[in-house]
Amino acid sequence: MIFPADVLHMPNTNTSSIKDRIVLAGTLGEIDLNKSFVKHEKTLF
Amino acid sequence: MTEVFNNSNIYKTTITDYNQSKLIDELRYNIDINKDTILPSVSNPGIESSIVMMGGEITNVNNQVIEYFNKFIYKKENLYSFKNWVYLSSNENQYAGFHSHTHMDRLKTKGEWTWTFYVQMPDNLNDDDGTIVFKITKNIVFYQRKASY
Repeated sequence: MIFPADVLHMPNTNTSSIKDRIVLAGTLGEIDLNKSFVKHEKTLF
Repeated sequence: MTEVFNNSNIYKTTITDYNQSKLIDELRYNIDINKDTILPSVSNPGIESSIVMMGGEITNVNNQVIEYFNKFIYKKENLYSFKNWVYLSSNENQYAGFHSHTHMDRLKTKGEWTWTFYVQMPDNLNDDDGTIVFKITKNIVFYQRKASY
């Protein structure tokens, strides 16, 4: 399944199963090399 | 690739060109060798492990997923950040809660798209056991029936 990363989802439990639920998953986010990320951490220096 | 619900941007497709037992062996090995594997706890009831292996069936499936993204979501020349993990939930897991994947662990980038590939479905399912539930808007919840996987 492929869906927007901000979509809330919930896999229900499988408490009666013998087999484990095994999921291979990933998240992707497009990168624009012309944009840099702001450093969020503040220091005294 | 088909849209599960109209205008939901939730899609499903099928990957059949892989060896399931080999993939499960590789993923269990990945869980074993990764020092950062998160074992079950109150806050994280399943086993979660970022993918640290390449080659074999892991890369085979990942590549097929990336092909879908290049074909339907991103342009092939686009760059994107990528996080990849395995999640294993046994029958001892009593927790089911809504979550999203906009946070990309250890990265500054935000997740835009998530994909999930059910390598092994649990058996002995009753009622809504094992069903994935989507909350599209505040009041609407969609169920993806297990029979559709």
